[in-house]
Amino acid sequence: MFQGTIPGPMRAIVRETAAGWPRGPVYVPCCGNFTIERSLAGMGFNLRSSDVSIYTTAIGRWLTGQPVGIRLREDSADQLGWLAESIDDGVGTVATMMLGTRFLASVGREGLWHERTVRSYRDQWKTKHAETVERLSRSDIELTSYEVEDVRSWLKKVSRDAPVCSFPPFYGGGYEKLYEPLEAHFTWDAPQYKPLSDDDVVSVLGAITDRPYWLTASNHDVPELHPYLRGVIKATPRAAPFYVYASEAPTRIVAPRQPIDPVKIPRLREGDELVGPLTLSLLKPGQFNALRSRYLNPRIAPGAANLAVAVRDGGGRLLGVFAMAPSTFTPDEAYVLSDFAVAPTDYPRLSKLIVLAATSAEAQLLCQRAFSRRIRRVATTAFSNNPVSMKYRGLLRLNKRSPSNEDGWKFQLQYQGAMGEHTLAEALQIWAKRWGARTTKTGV
Amino acid sequence: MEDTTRLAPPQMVQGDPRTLTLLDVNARFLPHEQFRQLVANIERDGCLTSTPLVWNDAESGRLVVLSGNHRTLAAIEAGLPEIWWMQIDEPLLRQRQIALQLSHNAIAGQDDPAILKELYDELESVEWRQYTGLDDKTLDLLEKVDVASLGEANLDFASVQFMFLPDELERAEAALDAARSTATADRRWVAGLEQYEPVLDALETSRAAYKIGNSATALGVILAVFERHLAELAEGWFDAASRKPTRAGTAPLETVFGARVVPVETAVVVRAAIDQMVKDGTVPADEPWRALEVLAVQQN
Repeated sequence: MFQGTIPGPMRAIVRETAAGWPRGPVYVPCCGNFTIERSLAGMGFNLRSSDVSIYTTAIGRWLTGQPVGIRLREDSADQLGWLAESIDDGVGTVATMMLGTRFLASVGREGLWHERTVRSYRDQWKTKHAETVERLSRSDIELTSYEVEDVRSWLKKVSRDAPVCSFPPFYGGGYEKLYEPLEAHFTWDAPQYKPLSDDDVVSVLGAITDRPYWLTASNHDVPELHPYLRGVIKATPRAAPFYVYASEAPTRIVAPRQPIDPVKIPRLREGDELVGPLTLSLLKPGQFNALRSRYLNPRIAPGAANLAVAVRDGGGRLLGVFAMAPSTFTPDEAYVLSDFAVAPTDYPRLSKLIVLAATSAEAQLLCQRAFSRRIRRVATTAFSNNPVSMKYRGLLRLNKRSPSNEDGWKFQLQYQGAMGEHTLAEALQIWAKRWGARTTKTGV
Repeated sequence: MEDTTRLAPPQMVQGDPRTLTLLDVNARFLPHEQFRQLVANIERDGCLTSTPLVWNDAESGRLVVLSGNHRTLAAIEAGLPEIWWMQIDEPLLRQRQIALQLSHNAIAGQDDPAILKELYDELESVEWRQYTGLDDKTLDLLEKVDVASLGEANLDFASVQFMFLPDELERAEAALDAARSTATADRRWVAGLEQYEPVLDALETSRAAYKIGNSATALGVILAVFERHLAELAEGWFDAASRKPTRAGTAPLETVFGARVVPVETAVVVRAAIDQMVKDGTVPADEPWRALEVLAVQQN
């Protein structure tokens, strides 16, 4: 399970920064999944960690040779008695905690999926537990000490000259929620502490930075720490950036890069006549990125598409692209992430043909194949400075109009419509009749 | 080359970038993240630091940006009221316009990676590094760190791919090859194309009935229902009206009994009866199932 793990480039920054620290103790509060400790392995530090979660404590105590001190709750014995043999106050308990993060949230919950998840773990428990114990036993992580203590009090106790490296939680209650299923079924000498408030975050940052060597990171841009900003890591255009602050460190940045693959399909151009029949062909992610960058407004941050499709005319020329993802809440709906026409052409309403193609029976088949479910409807969001999107008007139904949450646009318009009610051939007929008129150019 | 005349030196012009005409057909594009960085750089600088090349098309009255389209667009996005550009005022043949446009993009030089890294590494602040449009990962400046694994074992599972193929051999083979290339799978199950719609319907009904989203769980429901109706498969070999077989060969036992298994107590009694019939020669040792026939005939 993903437990407070940091992105790959961050590990490089941690290691590189720590290379300049004096060898000796390094304190790691809020150590989470011990990624900092693993990044600093073999550098000659005495790593001293602390945290307050049941999950981290199980690992931390085991790594430092302490009894783990976590037991199955009595009132969970009926449901989870089959775990009892695996809980040995050592590596067996740690393996149980780790596997527990995968299925405990489903225990006692109604629904076939939850039942199936729990049954699968129960059926495979002996093997998977033994495999996890084996993996852990091969681990060479070296930890000098681990203490169950809140970052606020712990930082007051630790040496003031020693380096501190920590990525403390900046989201209130996030970690407590993460470990709820473990806490629900296991009992331990849990520490009493209050979740960090905004003021606490500031004071914790103060306690970390008030020493000669330190490194911390956050998804928040902290203005007070700007003089210490040593790195920014942003994985994708829509991902929240990680800001790295340190006393002293080489500067590093990682910027998002879309993979771009060349697309050699010829485009419909000015002067070209669009001819039938329309065809659809699948695009690779890099090809979709290239076409989106070429034809779509560069102000719109790209997202990842599950299904990207090129619309071509009878001459094989690219007319436009649409990209779909399965709708999160409505099982038989596909969400149109992006749809655009190539430009310039003689057809000012070409984008309507792409919408028609995206809602065709052929597109429906591709969606059903990609998402393994019936798809009957499409939905999309248009960003516009007008109260209505001319592209979707007459094709999809405007469901909701609200102020835009993206910069540069006035409105955010939610559209919905049916899918599969016309074929590609019918789409071309409809479009040709209503919107297929060519413009007359005046020779510029 | 038709037009060999030299260009008169372009003049430097200051004006509103919104008055310029951007190229409709431009081979060069900027991915979103690069365009955003360009806008951020221009906002930071408050001006353009490289100059677009503009052709004054006297015939149409348009000022056409031959080179620097993205810089011009970014300047508009950054809200600059005015920018400087280089302007060619003499007539240009279409051939020369295109040649200028492409040459500005294509004749762009190359970076010596070692020198590039050296210069980039001199930039101390995060902001200046971002300004360059480069980054440490792309330049391979980050140390490779392999952290020790601290993860649990994953459940054993098999991924199954359903392929629905047309009944005509050549098209079926082509569809099979195409389907194989789209995904990896531990197993592939093949069915007729006409079964595609019923399978989707069955999955959807299972999902809706049990409020599940997961395809494998929905398939589990379908298989459970199938198990409960095993006896109905007798239709494959048995005519209930005439009580006669509809074909030769063998039939699965579960389609006779409607169950794949029986309680062990029942199994013991049946087994003992069969053993006895084998022993006394009522049924041959290599066809013990004939005991069922003997018992049924006695009953009838």
